Amino acid sequence: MVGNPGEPEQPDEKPVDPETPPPPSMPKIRSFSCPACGAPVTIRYPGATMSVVCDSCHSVIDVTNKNYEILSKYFSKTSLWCPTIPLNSRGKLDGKTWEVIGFMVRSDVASKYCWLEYLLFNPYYGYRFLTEDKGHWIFVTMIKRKPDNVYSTSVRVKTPSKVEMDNRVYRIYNRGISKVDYVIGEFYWRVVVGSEVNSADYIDPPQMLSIEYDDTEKIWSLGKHIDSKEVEKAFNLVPRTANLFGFGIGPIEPSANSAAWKKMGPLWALFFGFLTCANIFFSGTAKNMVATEYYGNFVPNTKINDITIPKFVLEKNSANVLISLFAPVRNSWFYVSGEMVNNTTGASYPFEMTSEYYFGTDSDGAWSEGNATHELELSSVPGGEYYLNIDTESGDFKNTNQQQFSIVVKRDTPSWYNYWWFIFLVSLPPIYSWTMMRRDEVSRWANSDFNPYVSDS
Amino acid sequence: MVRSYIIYGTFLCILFCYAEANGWKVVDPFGVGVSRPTGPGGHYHK
Repeated sequence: MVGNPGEPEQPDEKPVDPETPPPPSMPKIRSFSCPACGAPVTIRYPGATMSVVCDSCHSVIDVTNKNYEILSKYFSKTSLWCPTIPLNSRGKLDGKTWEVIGFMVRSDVASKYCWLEYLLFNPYYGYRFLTEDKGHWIFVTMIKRKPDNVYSTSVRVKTPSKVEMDNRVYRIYNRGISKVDYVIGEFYWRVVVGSEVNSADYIDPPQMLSIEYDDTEKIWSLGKHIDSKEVEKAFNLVPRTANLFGFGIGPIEPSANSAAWKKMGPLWALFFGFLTCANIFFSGTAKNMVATEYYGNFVPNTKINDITIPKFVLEKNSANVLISLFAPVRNSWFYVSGEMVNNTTGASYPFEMTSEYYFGTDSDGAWSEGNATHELELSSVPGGEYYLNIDTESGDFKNTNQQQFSIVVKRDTPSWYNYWWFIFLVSLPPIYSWTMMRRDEVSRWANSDFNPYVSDS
Repeated sequence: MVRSYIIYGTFLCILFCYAEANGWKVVDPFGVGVSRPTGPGGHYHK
């Protein structure tokens, strides 16, 4: 997303103690009259600047030419664009002081999507670019290196789909032709309004690799996300507020949700593993003891009240209790309501259970539903001596001869109820995190022609 | 958020172990378990 034809001619990186930022230099200003309109034009950094834009008529002037040749005449004298950071203002970014010496607006030829670029200059460190795109800022440095690896999906396309540098894999975000729409200030190359260049951007938040190329050369640059507050603070800008929906997430803006998801996924696996192991342990060590077995007779389709099942002992201070009811139901039902009573404290645990089983055939074939056995679990029953008081009721029996039902009480039985509930609870935050991460990434890639969240079909 | 999740997850793991050790079971928390007979097709018997 930078727009210059090559490395800055001079000055470039110079070994300076990074702990000691250079003092603001006093530029050696040179002035001349604009050959187009006659207005005075000032060059703040003669020697480093190759072209400058007349503030009055916006003509771009080649200052390396003795006659100040006009590179392009701007067609409008009105200011279509107003830079967010005023020209010639200074600010400290990346630990160094930079002066804004140039500003231009560039756009994608195909989509007309435009963005702003500021040319920064420091006499000791050279040039940098600061790009602004819908409230998102990127600090761009020209690099002489090329990516370590490139991955192409098609030989017909000159720009690869992925590039790798310094163990970071950058995915292609945009590819197209960038055009200069508007310029003011001075530049280290001969900038021409309307000039076009092939470009492609690759992202791996919070960094971006960009390439600008033609048939003869390829120029790479490395961009890093800068928070808008940092830019506002550096250049003393009036803080801007996002619109109702915010600025959205920038192409390489770090997403807190994405970062959180990367950490929460392994954490969830850890908790899942722990809960699984713990449940296997508790299930394996559960005593699963039969406290009592009761077999009673009943006359079908009648009610029987006040059956008392003899006392039994529940061991262990506190554990669950599993009550199993079985009745010989066939297209009929058997119902028990009762309570388990602590013989010492009188504490009561009421319960209701139904054994019912139905089967038959219809136009779809044979069917069945229900079960002759019904199990009911009671949570955390203290140890002690207990007895059961129950009432029974039955119906729909065709055989009305006396029949037998059974009730079995088990103590400390293995159970998966808690396991599934706790897995559900421990999964809620990662599900939320994944949802937010995906929302951010979908938003990030919404402006890309290579959006992985949109299918090709 | 990550720190909160670590605390939350750790708390759940401890609570799970404590519940299992003391026989606390999440049994039918919404009270939707069958009690009265429903009959075939879910019809309620009087």
